[in-house]
Amino acid sequence: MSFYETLILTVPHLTDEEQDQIAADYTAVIEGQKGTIRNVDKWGKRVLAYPINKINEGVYTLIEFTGDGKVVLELDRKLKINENVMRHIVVNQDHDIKLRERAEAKAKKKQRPVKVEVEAPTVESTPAPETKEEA
Amino acid sequence: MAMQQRPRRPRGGKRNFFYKKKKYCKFCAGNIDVIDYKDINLLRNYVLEGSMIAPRRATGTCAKHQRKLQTAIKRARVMALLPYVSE
Ligand SMILES: [Zn+2]
Repeated sequence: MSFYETLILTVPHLTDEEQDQIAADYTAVIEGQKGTIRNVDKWGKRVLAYPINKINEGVYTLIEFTGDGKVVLELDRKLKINENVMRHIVVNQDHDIKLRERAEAKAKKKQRPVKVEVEAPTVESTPAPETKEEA
Repeated sequence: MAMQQRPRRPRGGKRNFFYKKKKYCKFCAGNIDVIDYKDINLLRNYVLEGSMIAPRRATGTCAKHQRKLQTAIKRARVMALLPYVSE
């Protein structure tokens, strides 16, 4: 089981219902292969950075899911067949999630020693006046 | 002794034109290890006007993060989030 995300770029001249249907179709494909959907993010219509087949706009949909390699194979195959899908990408997120967790742990470690340092000098400061009295 | 001869910016007065602010990797400094291809506003800072990927000598990015930046920009280009060639 791995974490994946897929970004799908579809043709802009469809109705909202048809766009929703496309997203629903692919979530069904993922669930059909025993994958689980974590999140579906509809970005909506955006202007493309360059025209694709003389089309200047596109609708983006981001689907985050978990599953094994079979899900990706089937999803990729079905995305390639669909004429309404102009571009698509499937990215494995496992390594990125690990790195994010590591960065968070690092940030927490950095915060902890600060508290210890603050406590330490207060302990040392109490015997300090005694030495002065001896002198 | 060699340390003292490093060019330093004089405070006030004449401007030293040979002084260069040292470049550093902003991802290392910000403790960012994951560069997302969907974060277009970030990636735009690392693309030149001809929409070429900015070289390390221009931005100061370290080798590790430049590699990640490169894949992120290329992924964004495939998805038409960033241009291949500027118009
Ligand atoms: Zn770096």
